[in-house]
Amino acid sequence: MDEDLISKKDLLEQTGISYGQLYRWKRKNLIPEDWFIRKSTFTGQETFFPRERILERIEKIQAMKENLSLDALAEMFAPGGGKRISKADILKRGIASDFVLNFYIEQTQAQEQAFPFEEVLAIFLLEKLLHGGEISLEEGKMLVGLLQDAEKSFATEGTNVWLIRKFGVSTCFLTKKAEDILFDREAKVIVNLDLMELSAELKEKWL
Amino acid sequence: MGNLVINGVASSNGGTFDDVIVNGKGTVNSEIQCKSLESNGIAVFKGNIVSQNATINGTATFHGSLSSKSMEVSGSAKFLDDVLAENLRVSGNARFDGKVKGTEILLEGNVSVAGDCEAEEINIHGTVKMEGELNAEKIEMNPLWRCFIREMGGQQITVKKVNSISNWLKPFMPTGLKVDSIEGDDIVLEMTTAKVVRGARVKIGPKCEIDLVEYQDTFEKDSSAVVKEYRKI
Repeated sequence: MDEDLISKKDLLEQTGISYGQLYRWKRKNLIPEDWFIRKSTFTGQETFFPRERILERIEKIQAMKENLSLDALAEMFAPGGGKRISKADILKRGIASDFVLNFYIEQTQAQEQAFPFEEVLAIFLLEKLLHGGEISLEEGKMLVGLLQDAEKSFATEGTNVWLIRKFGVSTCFLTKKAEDILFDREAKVIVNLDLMELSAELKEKWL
Repeated sequence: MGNLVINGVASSNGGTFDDVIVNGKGTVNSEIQCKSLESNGIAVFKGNIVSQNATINGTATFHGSLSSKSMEVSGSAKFLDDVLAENLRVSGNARFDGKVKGTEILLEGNVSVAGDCEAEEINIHGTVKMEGELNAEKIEMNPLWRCFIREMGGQQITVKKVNSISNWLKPFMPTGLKVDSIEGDDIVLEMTTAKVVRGARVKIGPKCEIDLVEYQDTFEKDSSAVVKEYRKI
């Protein structure tokens, strides 16, 4: 996967941030470690970043920095701070509709009135896909099952959720830091979502 | 919760304790969760450890990861996995094969780190060898003997000659810091050999040998320092 890269020097110049800020954000895990790509150049080792993703991330950090502390920000970009989110909150913040929330509760037979972040992410995912009309209810059930079986920490950097269909038969799976995936010609990729992006999107509902 | 105390030669399983004390020659075979960990003899810890306070005075080997609110190493310790300690102080010998992460770190002995080292503030008065990246808001360093750090990054980075009684020994000890790259906002260097130094405000003092300096605001150079190339960007 050849992505457009930007050197550290150009990044600093373009965004106006300092070395101190960049290293601080790295320490706080606001910028994931595997975005720091080392390459040998004629001037020795240099660090590069995936251009689009780093520029977007820095823009977000700078925009939010004004009303959030660094630690609060770090929590925003890292999965689940252990907080539980209530049903009412899910509805009020427009994370999911009544229908999808009830569908999820029915599927998982959840007894609690509040959910940990990972489950809210699963609900948010369902809402997106069911309402977008991309998947059927049956497929929704399958996704819920998959995310339940996955480890709690599934929403880490580089995890994608996939749903593919071939001749009307569908299946879903998670990939972690997968570089290239090749499907056979008849298979149709219905869903390919980056869970980190989705979780950032979800967290923005709180701002 | 009870304590785990090893006084003679013994081995034990881990578990959850208030205090864990090893005085003789002890081996703990599995994970430990405790309030305080004290190791005075020769100890081997095979599982991961989570503690509030850890003090290592004798010789200790940690096969698993260690996370502690504060940790002091005055003896000789070997950590084969990652270490997380908010307050970390090493005045003896320590070898870290994994990552080291802390808030305040003080290294006064002889320390080697194979992975990256992260802290808000780190003070180094001793001999270090760091194969990874040292990333801290504030780095203050007085090298003793030959030090090596592959990469340094942060806001404020200062490397200075140590002022102590042992100065009269200095002529016989080749002392200085060798580093591949230093990147920071405020950089003040003495006795440092580096390939690249990049920063906003850079001051290169005596006994430095730098291949390339790239600065944004200001650049100062001592007349005895060697800087092969410098440019404003």
